[in-house]
Amino acid sequence: MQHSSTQDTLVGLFVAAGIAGLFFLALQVSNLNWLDESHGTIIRHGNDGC
Amino acid sequence: MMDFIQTLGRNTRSSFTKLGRATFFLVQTVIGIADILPRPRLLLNQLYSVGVLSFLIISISGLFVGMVLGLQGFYILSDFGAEETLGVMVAASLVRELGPVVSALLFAGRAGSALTAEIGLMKATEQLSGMEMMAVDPIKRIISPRFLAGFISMPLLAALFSAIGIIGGQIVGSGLLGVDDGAYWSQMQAKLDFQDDIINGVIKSLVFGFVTSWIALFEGYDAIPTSEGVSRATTRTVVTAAFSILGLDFVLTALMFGDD
Amino acid sequence: MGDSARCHNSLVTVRGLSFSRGDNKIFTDVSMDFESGKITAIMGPSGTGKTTLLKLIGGQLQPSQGIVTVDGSNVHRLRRNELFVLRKRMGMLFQSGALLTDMSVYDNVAFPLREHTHLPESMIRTLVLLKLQAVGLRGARNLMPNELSGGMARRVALARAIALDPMMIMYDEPFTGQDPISKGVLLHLIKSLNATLGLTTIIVSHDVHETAAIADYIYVVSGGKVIGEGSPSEIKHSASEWVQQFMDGSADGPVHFHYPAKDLQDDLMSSGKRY
Repeated sequence: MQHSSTQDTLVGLFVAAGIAGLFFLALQVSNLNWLDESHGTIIRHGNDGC
Repeated sequence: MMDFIQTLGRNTRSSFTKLGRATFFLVQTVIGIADILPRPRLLLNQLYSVGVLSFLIISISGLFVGMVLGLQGFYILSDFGAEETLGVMVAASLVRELGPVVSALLFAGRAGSALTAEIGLMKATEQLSGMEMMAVDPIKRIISPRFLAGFISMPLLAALFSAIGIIGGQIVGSGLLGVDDGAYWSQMQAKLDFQDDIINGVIKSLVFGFVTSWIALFEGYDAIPTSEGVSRATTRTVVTAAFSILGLDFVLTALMFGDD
Repeated sequence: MGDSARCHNSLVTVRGLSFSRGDNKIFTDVSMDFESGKITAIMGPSGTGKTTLLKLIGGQLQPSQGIVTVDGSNVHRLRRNELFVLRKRMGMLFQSGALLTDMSVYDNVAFPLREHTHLPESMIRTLVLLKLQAVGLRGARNLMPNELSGGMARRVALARAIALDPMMIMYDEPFTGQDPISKGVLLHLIKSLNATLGLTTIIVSHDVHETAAIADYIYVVSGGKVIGEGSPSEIKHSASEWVQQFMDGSADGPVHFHYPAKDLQDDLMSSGKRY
């Protein structure tokens, strides 16, 4: 009940980390290709180039 | 002999009545979820105590399990000159089995036992009856948010466990033992399927989260309201949840991976 | 005794109530009246199901026979939501206080208001502080339940029980395990809440002197039956030996000091077989 703002932050971080884990599994591990050729790495490359 | 048969009959009858109570409890709990939606704060508080507090043990265990898998996998695979497939082995065993199962077992030990003890103590200290007398349904107010939080947290925790484990395997495999980093990932990506592996793993962890939360909450709610009763219920939660997780894992594996 | 004079103004009536747990009969054919605006006490030794009686009145347990009516409605015939509406007007003080351990004193008292009303937080604050003021614990509002003494916890629970301004309040063993000062404070509170708010009060207790000091009417319960009733002075001069023993707290009487056993001499002379 108290410290509810810290608690909210931690819950937010937890959920974000969990979803990041799911995305990691989907994209990096199983190479889900609903974006066809463009994996995460290629997008990042393009951004670096700018 | 007669005694034995009588005992058997009595035990069967009491397990069935308990199963009946548990089912009734589950139905009420699920109905109660509708009442949480307008009050997300209740869920948020429980996501903290169920999810966030299990985060540390799950991620550290995931790291070590992944590292051990990397080590053991390397020893066996290198005998066949197949070190590059280390990534496949680590990822497949984590995503399909170890991630959902081990994180569910840890979840039952960390969050499940805590839920049982909390609910049991609330019953023993008359907090649940007190709520009822204040015209507040304890199932809706206390049980449903915890159940939903467990159900949501479990797949997230299992995904974290697997992801951290795969990274742990990579640290050991390519960092310490010299497996090619590119091969570790590319072999993994080539062999693991999103639908068959990732989705099935998530479905498993959803089932385990559902069952573990149900068992933990019901054992607490059904506990004999004394300190001895609560401690017994806590033990029962861990034992029953572990059996159910492992048994269901077998059934789910047979259903999911049996066809091909 | 006075039944016809009493029953027309009673808020709670119990008629022919029977209740059993398994084969164990807790109550058989109990009838009682709780007069509106008065303090009625139910007294009896431990383990006679006095708490069970309160749970029957509150509709938490179903009797095997008999009728309980509260403010004209038959408690056990109500549907669940109707029962909840009725319960908002019934306060109950549990023996342990039953405070929610993960909330502060303030939040505990605010709990029923937040659950059942849509009042703005500023209004809730005013109400909570007034209720806490009534039990003398306005300064303790930020403490957690585990930081309270037993007596303070009961006073907080009392503030919570009156938060929704109920028509009646039931006290379950309010004096048990309290030091003399806390007992005095609780006695004063029960009496003054009854007087100022006109709360119909039901006290379940085995503390003879405290309860007799404030009760308007007393039922003495033992073995699942009402064995004596009347005003405190009538009870004190009751003809029943059992009631006399209970009120005086004598060690032997109709309730024997010894648990039933065979004759001492026979027992001692019998062979030293282990049990």
